[in-house]
Amino acid sequence: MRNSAIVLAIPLLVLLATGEASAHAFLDHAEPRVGNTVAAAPREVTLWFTQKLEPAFSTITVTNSAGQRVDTGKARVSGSQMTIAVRPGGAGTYHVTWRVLSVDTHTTDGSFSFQVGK
Amino acid sequence: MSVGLSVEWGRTGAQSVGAEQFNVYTPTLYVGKGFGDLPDTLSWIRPVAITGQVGYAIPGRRSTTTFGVDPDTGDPTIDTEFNPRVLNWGGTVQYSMPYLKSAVYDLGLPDFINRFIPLVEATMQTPVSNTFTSGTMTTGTINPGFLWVGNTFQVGVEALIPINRQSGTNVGVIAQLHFYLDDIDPRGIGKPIFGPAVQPASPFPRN
Repeated sequence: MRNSAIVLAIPLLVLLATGEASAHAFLDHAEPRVGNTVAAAPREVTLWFTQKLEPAFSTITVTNSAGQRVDTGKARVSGSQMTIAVRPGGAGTYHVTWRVLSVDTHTTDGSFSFQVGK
Repeated sequence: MSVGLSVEWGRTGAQSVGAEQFNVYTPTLYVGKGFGDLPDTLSWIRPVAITGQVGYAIPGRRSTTTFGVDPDTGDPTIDTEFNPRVLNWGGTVQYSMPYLKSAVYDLGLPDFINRFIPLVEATMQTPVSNTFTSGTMTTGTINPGFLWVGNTFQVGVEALIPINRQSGTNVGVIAQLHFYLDDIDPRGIGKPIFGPAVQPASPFPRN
C-alpha cells in the first residue's frame, strides 16, 4: 500500500516528551512522607524540592481535618528545603499546600495529605 | 487544549520506504486532562492523565501518477493513485509515578522506579475523502509502553500492536531518546531564543 506514508501517524512519544522537562522546582519528598501515616502529630513539616527556592516567595500551609490552619505561618527556607512548624494537634488527615518560587524565577504549587494516628 | 499544524515535507525521504514526493499538511487539535483534582477516596487514580488528538491530513497533491513499463509486454503503463485526506486520531492513558510520589503516596520505592510513566497509546488513521484507491478502512496501532524521566534526558519505549491486518501483521517496537538541551547546555544550544539562560533544573534532585 504505497500511500501508507500518508496515513501513518507518528506515535505521540515525541509530544509526551515535553511535559516533565521544563525548569521548575518540583517536590521531591516530604517529612511526614506524602500520603503516609504517622503515630503522632508532627512538630513540623519539611519539604525537599529539586531546586533552590526563593524564601520571600515560598510558602507552606498545613490544615487539619476540620480545615483549620495548624501551621505557625512562617516557613524556613534553606536551599532547596523548606520547613514550617506545626502546632500540636490530634489524629486525622492533614493537608499540606505549598507554593514556591525557584531561583530560576518559575513558580510551582502542589498539595498532598498525610494521616496522624489512624 | 492546544492546536498545531504539522507539515510532512515531501521529497525528503527515500521512496523505497514510502516517503512521498509531496507535502502533507495536518492541522491538529490536542487535548489533555490530568486527574489530580479527584477526591481523596480516589487518590490512587490521581496520577492518571489522558490525552487525545485529532488531526486532518491534507496531501499537497490529490493524486500521484507513476509511469512504468509492463515487464511482460514491454508496453508503457500509467498508474494513478489518489492521495486521500486522512483523519489522524488517537490518545494516551498514562500513570505518573513521579506524581504519585510527590502528591498522592510516597511508597518509598527506589528512585529508579519513581521515574517511570507507564502508558498506553493509540494512533489511528481513517481516510475520509479522495479515497478512490485507498479505501476508507481505519488502520492504526495500540502502543503499550513507558517513559523514563531522567535529569537530562528521557527514554520512551512502546510496542506497536496493529489493530487489524491492514495495519500490519507483526508487533513492532518504537523507542525515543529525548535530551533536555536547556538543562544540558543552558547557555549554549539550550538557551532560550528570547530572554536569558535559566538555571538547569529537573523533576528530580541531582546527586
